[in-house]
Amino acid sequence: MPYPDQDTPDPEDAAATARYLELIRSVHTEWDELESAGDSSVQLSAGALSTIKESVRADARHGAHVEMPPTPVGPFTVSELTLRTLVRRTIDAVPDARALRTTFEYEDSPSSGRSRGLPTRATCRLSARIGTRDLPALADEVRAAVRLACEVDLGLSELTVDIHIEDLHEPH
Amino acid sequence: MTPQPTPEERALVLRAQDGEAAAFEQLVDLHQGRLFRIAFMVVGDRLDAEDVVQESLVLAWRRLHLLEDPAAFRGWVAQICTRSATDVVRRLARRATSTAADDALEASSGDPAVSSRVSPNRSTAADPAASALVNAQMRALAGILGSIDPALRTCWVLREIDGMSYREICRVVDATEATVRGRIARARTQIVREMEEWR
Repeated sequence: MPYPDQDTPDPEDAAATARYLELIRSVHTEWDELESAGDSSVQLSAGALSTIKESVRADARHGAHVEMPPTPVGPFTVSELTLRTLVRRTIDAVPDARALRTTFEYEDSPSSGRSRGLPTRATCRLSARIGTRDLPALADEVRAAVRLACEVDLGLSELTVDIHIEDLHEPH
Repeated sequence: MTPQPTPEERALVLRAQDGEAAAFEQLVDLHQGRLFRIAFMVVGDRLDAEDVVQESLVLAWRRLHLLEDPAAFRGWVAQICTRSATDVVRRLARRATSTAADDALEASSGDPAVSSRVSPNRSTAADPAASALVNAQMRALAGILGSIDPALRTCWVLREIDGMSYREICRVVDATEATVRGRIARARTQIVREMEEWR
């Protein structure tokens, strides 16, 4: 049998090919219609979806412990997840900005294992709302907000914050 | 042929890589239907397909930080799902082989449950949830696919059901384009032949 998407199908197989293509088309159409109607026979059950989402919540990657400037009462560490979450929420709170992903550079950690030293640089990738008139001003605003949040919440006063606006998004 | 990821989907992948569980949950909602479609057509059983999709999406969440190109999420998660589905098919085939001798002996004693257990289409015939698939075409196709070699079936499903390009399928099944094209052609030939036998 020829490939159905070839230009010159074998005439002897034309009827069989037509029936084959009709089967594929019919299956797609039926399935799409059932799925868009929310029919439970063609997609995951609500219970299965719920199980997946519970597993995702329970299985968050917290990452390594990151050292912060010590407090008067002792050492202070947070997880990489906490650090990224703080930055993401800070960026999201800036009008016209939407966080995408942030990476960090760290000082060498004096302790062994999976811990990391003080963060020295954050590279924030973000999206700007379509229509934002002054992208450099938005970048400055995000940089200032991230630096302030890290200083107030974590005591990090020497963090260098790089901003990379790499996409535009529709207003929500 | 394959839909390109929307900017929104790319943003969700990046935010999920940043650790936001809610972003990954939105990706789950976006992709569960197509992954279920792939898994069901490969394993031929609703409950097994559901298990495959669940395991695949949880595994994808755990490995998401390893995905370098967020735009490749669609193919990457399909690859995880396809491999998991193929593993299930192989496991079921091994189980069927190992129990076939015993079943043959039991069959001679007249046990009516045995014939359904050794049937190649055990799932669609015996699973009440699968019979809820209301479309006869779908049931028929699932039945035909159950008789096709899993390697051929997988390539065919990725091409004809999920709409992947040949190049993407090569990555998913780790085979050359010539091999993939050959498998799909053989699967089509078998499907057409079986369709003709219905008539």
